[in-house]
Amino acid sequence: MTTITLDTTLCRTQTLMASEVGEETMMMDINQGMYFALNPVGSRIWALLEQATSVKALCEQLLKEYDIDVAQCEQEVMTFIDQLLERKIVSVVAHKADAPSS
Amino acid sequence: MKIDTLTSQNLASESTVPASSEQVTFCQAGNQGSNYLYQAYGLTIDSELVIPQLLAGQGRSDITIRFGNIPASLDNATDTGPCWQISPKQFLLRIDKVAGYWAHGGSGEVLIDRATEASDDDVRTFLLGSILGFLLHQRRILPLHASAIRTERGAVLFTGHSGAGKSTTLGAMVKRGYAMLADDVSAIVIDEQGCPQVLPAFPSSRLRADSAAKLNRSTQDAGHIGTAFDKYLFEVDHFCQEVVPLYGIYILTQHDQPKIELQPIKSTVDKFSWLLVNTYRNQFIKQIGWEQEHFQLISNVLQTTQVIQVKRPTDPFLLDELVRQLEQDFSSNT
Repeated sequence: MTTITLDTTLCRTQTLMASEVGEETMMMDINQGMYFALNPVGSRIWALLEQATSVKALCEQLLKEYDIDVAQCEQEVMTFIDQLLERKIVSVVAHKADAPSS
Repeated sequence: MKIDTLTSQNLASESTVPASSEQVTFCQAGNQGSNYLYQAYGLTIDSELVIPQLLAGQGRSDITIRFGNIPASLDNATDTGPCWQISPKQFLLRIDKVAGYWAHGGSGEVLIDRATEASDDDVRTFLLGSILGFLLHQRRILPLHASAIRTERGAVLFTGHSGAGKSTTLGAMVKRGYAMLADDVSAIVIDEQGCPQVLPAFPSSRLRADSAAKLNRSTQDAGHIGTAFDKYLFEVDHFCQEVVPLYGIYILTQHDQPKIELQPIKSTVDKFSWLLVNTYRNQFIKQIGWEQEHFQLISNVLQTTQVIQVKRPTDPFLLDELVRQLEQDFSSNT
């Protein structure tokens, strides 16, 4: 069940510590007392989220890097972002409609 | 895209060390006036109490150990228990009929208020255990509950719960010709190139009578620690006094199969979890407040070091076979 759309913009939780271990990313959230590891594709998405990024922009970049079709990419990215949101690894910045013009 | 999760709250923490008494017959202290100068883990220790297990040290001391009165309680305690208190920089520990200990991480001072009936042996046990462990945490040195040896490829660690076989495996490896680095607590730092290095501890090992028997060592001349575990204190004659780059970590576990199995751990979260659980006195991490640096240390270790789970039958120990398989594993190309 997803509340995000392609236009949702996400940013990293700033208090997380992250460290690359091989192709994975190991993370720690002191506030929650939890540790996470992202697999290689998840790690790539985390890297792309260095700046606040929309789901749409993430998919556009991933489509260039991975052999996957648009619909499947969007589906999987949104599912993954949902999981990141649930674990407070990322948070929503704004939906496009609400975003200030830059 | 996958996330593995680990909650730090459900990790087991170490239990408190039981009271013990030991008599040691070997002594390697450097003597300076009425105090003794030692070294362990790259630290120089100036002690009023004689600590025969430690090697002689020299130079300016990092840690000073004196007998004296200790504070009744700590300001800013982050956690307390029935016989201890801890704050970001200080630790207070009282062991009934042995001593009260106070340690300050910033200054490296340790004060011991010993009970009149306590032997030097009793006092040393907690000093070299929880107190030294606390000081390692304070210095942001990663202490793993592990024995360690030097091999051609670097330092190899054997970690696991009490009774897993850390000291027995160490003893067997020393017999094979490998130099010892540590028996119970292996200390790791990261050098300027980002490579984990293992610091030499001190040349003594605690073994149960049955473990000593497996190693064909007589308990006749060994110091005896009369604990619930009933251990003996052995001097180890082949000891490495240099810092050695870390090569691999073996996690000693038991299973109900008849054979020994070695399994490299693939999952990063699992590896992380093992190293967190096997951090010596891991509850200090949160109590002192160095979770971030500890996380970074372990991440660094995981970037460069293999972690392999060893499953052996509970009985028989199969020590010779274990040594053979371990040696084959850490000597082969990966």
